[in-house]
Amino acid sequence: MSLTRFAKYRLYTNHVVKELRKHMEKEKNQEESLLLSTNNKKISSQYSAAKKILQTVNNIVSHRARFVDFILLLILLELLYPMLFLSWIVFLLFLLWQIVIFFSILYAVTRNDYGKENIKKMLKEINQEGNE
Amino acid sequence: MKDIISTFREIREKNYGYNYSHYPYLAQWKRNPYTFFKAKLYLELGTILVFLLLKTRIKPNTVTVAYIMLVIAGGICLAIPMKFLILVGIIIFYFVGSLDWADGPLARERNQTSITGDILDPYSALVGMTCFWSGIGLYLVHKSIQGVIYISPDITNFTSCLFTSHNSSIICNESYKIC
Repeated sequence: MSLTRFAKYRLYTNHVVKELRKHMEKEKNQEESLLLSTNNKKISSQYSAAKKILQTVNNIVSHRARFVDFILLLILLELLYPMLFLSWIVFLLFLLWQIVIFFSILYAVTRNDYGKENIKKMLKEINQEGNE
Repeated sequence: MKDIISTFREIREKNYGYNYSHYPYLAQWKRNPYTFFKAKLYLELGTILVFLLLKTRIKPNTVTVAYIMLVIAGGICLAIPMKFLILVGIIIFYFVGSLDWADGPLARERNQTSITGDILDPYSALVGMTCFWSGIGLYLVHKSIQGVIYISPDITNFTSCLFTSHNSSIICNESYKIC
């Protein structure tokens, strides 16, 4: 990605997406409170369990420093013991996880014009808030 | 001497205060022990860097550019199949974050915060990640070639034993033992 494009993206996120985030947090809180308030405890527990699993996987396999350090540790071990091929396995797992994320996002965005509808809705609300 | 120590302490306290107030999880060592340790390391190294850089004319954005150059060098080091260079790459990627943690406090100390810095900072992280994964990819390519070389004597001996007579297979078996 070129620096000019990145700069535009960054400025856009700084000035516009903050509002979108606020709106999304509001929606998220409403959704969670609805799920918690339902009498069906099974659904809410399933929802929280799935959320926890996703969060832990995302925390382990991510671009964050600890995962990078873990890979560096594996490479260090491979330098000491050349017959080890651990970094290959971790790299493939990471690749698989990224593919899963990519296709799930692709599915979510393309399904029934999800992206278009949501952006329209959010921009409408932002305009309304601005007018107020 | 006392002045130097007091300014160093001041910078350190400011640095800790800013980071712990913005990212409270950095101080929770029970929940994130490794993150806690790494943040401490970066904070201490970052404070030392800021303290030293304050005595020079180096701008915060120059520090960010230096970070970008270092991660590119680290990626190249990881990609070259030489033990020493791979080790250098590992060391670079382990400690390079301290530069990323030093440019912000330096800008705040000198009142040189800017939009350019705000853009450059995440961009450097993006370049860092790209260089890291590219370096790792090329490292793995070399590693797999190395693996083929390790396994190949076994394969060649095995195939030659399959397609030769009984006597020659004994010779092959002997050579296999030697391999």
